[in-house]
Amino acid sequence: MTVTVERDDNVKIIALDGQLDVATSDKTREDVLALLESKPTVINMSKVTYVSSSGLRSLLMIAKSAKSKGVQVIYAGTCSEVLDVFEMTGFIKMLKCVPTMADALKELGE
Amino acid sequence: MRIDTHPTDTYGDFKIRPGLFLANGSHIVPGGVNFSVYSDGAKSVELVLYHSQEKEPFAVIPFPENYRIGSVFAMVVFDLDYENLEYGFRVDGEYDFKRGFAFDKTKTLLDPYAKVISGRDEWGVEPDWSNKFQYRSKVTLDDFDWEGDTPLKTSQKELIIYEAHVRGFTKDESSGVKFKGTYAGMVEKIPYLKELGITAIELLPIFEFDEFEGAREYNGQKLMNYWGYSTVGFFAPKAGYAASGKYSMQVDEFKNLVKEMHKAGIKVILDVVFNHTAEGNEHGPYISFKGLDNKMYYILTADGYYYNFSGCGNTLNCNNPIVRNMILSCLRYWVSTYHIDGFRFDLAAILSRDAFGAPIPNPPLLESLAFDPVLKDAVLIAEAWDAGGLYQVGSFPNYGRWAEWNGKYRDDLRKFLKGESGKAECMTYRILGSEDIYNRSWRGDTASVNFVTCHDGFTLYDLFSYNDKHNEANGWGGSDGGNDNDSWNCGWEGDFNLPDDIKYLRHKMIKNAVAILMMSLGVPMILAGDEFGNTQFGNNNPYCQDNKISWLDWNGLEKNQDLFRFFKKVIELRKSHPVLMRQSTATPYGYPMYSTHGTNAWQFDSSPESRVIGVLFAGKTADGKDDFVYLGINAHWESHGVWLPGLPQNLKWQVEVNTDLAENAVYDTPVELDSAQQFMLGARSVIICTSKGAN
Repeated sequence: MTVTVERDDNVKIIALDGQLDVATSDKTREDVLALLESKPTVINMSKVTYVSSSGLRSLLMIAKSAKSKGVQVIYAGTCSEVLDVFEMTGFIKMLKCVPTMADALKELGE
Repeated sequence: MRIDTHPTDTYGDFKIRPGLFLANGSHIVPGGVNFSVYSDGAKSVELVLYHSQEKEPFAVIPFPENYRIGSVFAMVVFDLDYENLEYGFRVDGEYDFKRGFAFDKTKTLLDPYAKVISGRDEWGVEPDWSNKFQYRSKVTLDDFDWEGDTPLKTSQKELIIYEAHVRGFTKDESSGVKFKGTYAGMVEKIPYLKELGITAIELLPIFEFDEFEGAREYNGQKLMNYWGYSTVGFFAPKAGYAASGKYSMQVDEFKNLVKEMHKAGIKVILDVVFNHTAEGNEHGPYISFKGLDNKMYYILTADGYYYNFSGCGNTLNCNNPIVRNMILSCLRYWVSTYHIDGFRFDLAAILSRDAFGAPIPNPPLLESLAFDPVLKDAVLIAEAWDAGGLYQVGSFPNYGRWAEWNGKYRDDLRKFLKGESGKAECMTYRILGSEDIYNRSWRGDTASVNFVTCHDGFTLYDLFSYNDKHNEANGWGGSDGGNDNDSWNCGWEGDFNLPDDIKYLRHKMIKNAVAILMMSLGVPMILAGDEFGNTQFGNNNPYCQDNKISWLDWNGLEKNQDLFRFFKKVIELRKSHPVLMRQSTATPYGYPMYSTHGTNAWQFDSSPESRVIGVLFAGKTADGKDDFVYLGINAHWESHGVWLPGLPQNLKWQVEVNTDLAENAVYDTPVELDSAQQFMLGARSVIICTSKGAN
């Protein structure tokens, strides 16, 4: 799993690339949390091909940490297989997800 | 930093240390996974580790001698990729069939405490039968974001139970949900359940079972173990019921179902099967218990054979201290970890048998469950009989705590409704809480779970559409399923070329049944789909039918709107009159809280040919107003005029529902009655009246 910052001005875009499973989820969560500032952040999920149980928990913990700090986090571009998993397990109700990056930016008033 | 996070030993490339002796099963601990298992007669135990779905293990690690205390073996293995891990145990010990020892170190055994089981991850996908390890224990995370949820605290008096099969509920195309036949699909139907008004859902078994157990082909149809009354693992939710089962996320998916049900105010009750396991008799497979401690887990004859009080090959030795602790741990686990609100125990009479199969008056297991602090608020419902002939309806060891499926309610209501003579008086007992069976001062107000239909038998539509069962599709030449159905086809067997007047009568009979059920004291239970006239085409035992015979056909909701509307109305009536739930105390003006009547008020006719019953309920509404409800039943094939009991001067009767009015049995605006008016109760019909007026 690689974590890269794709944009960092008034909005931060963090891209994840790879599988989010027990081997990568803790590190990914730490990396993303370290990058969070007070500005609105979009997590680009379009290159995440798989999310396991522990991966789900990492995404949820990122969302909860951000919320407790008052930082807006949006998950954008999640592929349909992964989105289905969010839906089946109910995590979709706890994560702010939008279909595309453009939707995310629109949501942030851009 | 704790010192027990460090390995003390190595085995090959694996770092290990002695594990948690008080735990059962597997747990994620810092740096590794703990595995704990007990076996009384074992000489030695090996932990067998597999990568997910691989046939051969990547490691077999014997528990060293110092990793054993008493008969408990416990080990932490470090650095495991637990999401990609499956494990089992191999146990070496004596084999002596006659003495009950069945150890076989060639078998890899499922952890009896496995919280996730793989091997049947997607329903109906043919397993690789050459794989020697079919049901595979997995490690799971127990955490979940419950968002403040706990088991619901609402009173048991408010229960209105809806019995449903997870797969059958939404599997049919007509359900219109995205994730058909799964826990997630059920979540999509929660708004519907809320609209119907039920307050609890009782799920047919969801502990992991094998739908391929006993699978066969008949007439080109694949017949499966569809109902699932044959447990493989007691701690694991059925993977094949999870849309996410292929990703091993059934735990999260099922917890989400419970959480969402709770948000809608619906309790979740599980139908649990502790009377036997899927290991069958001496010809059955080794899955877990047989190879771990055969003598301990099963009730055996003096020469080592399995007693079969369950009708399914073996009988779990429920009152053995080890086994009863497992059952108690299991129920506590489901309540604390999954927030389950209650349990219905299949063939529960077995739970009162001792190690020799004899019923005992004070069974330790049932007593433990009744007094357990974690289970304190959990609903405990017994199916108070077993296949060994023990029938305990009314006499189930209950500690003032257990409720029972009231089989007598079902039988008497069916007989009375179809017009049998000599049933009127008995029917009044059933309506008023069956106090002849359940001593109220000892059993409380919710001992009687009243029902007309359940998964086992005809649906409500079929009850009034078939005189005889039609089980040919089950492949046993029609010999399976009960014959004592007390059903009546209303003059036409089945649906082919159904005349309109027969259809009309059937709808009326269905409404009569549910109206009485919702007005009866105790806890009402309905079968999923009955509210829209679902049919099983006359099959009264579709345990093996994973197809349109069993799956709910949601087209019925459109086709039989009158039924759905009626169910909703009588449920709403029950909920809005506390006296029907025994939640009303004050009785105004000296009226008895519950009284029975005949065609004349205050004159109940108990003679053999009497088929007219009036029941008056007198209490207070939730906001303290005087509240009267009258249930008028005419089970006769001719109409009868009835005099309703008089009301205090400031109140008037109003008719809320009248099943005689074909499809319009529910009044949009209740119809007021004159105080001196005789009401003409139509043939085979039911009315419900409530009091109205300034107060």
